[in-house]
Amino acid sequence: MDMLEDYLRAVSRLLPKAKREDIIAELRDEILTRIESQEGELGRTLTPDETEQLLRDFGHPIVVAARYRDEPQYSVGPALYPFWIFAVRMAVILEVVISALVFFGRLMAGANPAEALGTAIGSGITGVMTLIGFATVAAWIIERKGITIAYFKTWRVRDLRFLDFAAWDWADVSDWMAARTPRPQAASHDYGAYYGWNLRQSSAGRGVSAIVAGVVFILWWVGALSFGLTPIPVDYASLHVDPGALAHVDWPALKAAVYWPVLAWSLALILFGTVILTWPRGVRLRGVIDIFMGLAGLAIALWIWTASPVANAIRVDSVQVLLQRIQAFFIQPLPIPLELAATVFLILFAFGAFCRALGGLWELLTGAPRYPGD
Amino acid sequence: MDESDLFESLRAEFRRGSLSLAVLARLRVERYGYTLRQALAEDGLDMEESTLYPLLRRLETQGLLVSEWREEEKRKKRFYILSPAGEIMLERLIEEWRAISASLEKITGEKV
Repeated sequence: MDMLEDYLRAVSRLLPKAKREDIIAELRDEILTRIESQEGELGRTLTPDETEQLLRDFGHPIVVAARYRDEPQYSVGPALYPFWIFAVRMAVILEVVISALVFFGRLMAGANPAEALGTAIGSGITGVMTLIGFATVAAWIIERKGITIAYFKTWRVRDLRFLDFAAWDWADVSDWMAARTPRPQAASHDYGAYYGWNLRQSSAGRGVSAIVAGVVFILWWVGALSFGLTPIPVDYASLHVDPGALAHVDWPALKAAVYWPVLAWSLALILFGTVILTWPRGVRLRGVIDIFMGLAGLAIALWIWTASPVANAIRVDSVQVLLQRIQAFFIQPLPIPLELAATVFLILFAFGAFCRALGGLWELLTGAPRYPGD
Repeated sequence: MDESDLFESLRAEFRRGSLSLAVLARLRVERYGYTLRQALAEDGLDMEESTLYPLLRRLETQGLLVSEWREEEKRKKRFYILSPAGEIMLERLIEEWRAISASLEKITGEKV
């Protein structure tokens, strides 16, 4: 019965160690009983071919062993699948849109069209595969760790607007282009309607967006996700852009300098999203995280302003100088002054971080959520 | 998927839920895997080993079955029998099955 032992050895390798011996003993007995009963019917011993056929009927070792495993026999289960496929779809759209933008950006910057197209397709496919891979790994872990996602039970109708975007097609576009009817007045209990789009999200919606934004950003930051943004010699003049001193900045050195702080900040963003999702009522905890993230954002902005390689290019010495520059921009917009754009962006970022810290302090002190309806 | 494949998949789904009930009921008397499978087959419920053995193990971990290794016909065999908790569970499952069956009879208008 060497063939049987070979077969059983193949099965046993795939079984969990603790149960291995017991299961194999039982399988051996079952198969031997079967062989004996067949031999009894035939009145002779089985030929090797017949034995092999019997084992084949019994099942492939991988299948037989898998049936004894306790964990689910799938990567994405039926409950999670709709969300998984939605995420994958979003990822594909995101990657295609960004690759297309980068492609046209390169064309405008004077790149070789064939080369630009090749890069766009190459990085697009790699990016899509990477995102699908990460979505699948996430689903796999969720299925096995028995993680329950509060969002599935606590989603709010007002969060569903993001589906408008996710599912739009040309019919929507033409609807939108046609007579735009004013939105019906929001009912009075819908507090959020008084605020902008962002503020209308519920805490669960904000948690999900924080996690998605954090994950995609980190993947890009560490280089796992590529949008084809590799440095190309940009023809600033044809883009009507004036880079000023920014053209001479050592970007790799800048990225190396902020690599870990930015990574830590993004991880904190994901943590923030997770806290919101798993513990929607933890307003004070959320406040503490907000304070830290706000202060960290301020610190990063301050460093960029004063000590980073780009500091000289984007720092302005007084409010007056800044206002003068903005005024100059409105009088003569082209070429667009990139330095000014970076300065304004940094100031807005710092202001946002400041507000975040302040809002966090408010939540910590009062225990009441900043956004009504949370 | 053509009609017969579709029927097979619906049928498999239909049968899957009833297997635990059948196995538990047949193990009111002590049996080992091979004889259990034969008994089920005689009753018209063919079951593959690759389904039966893992199911037996799962039911045992859940405390519905107990098993022991004993020698019989010159070989050690693993005998299974319903545990006290399994008996209670079996009664509940039978009740449930009767209720489902009664509902289906009412719905389809067919007396089984």
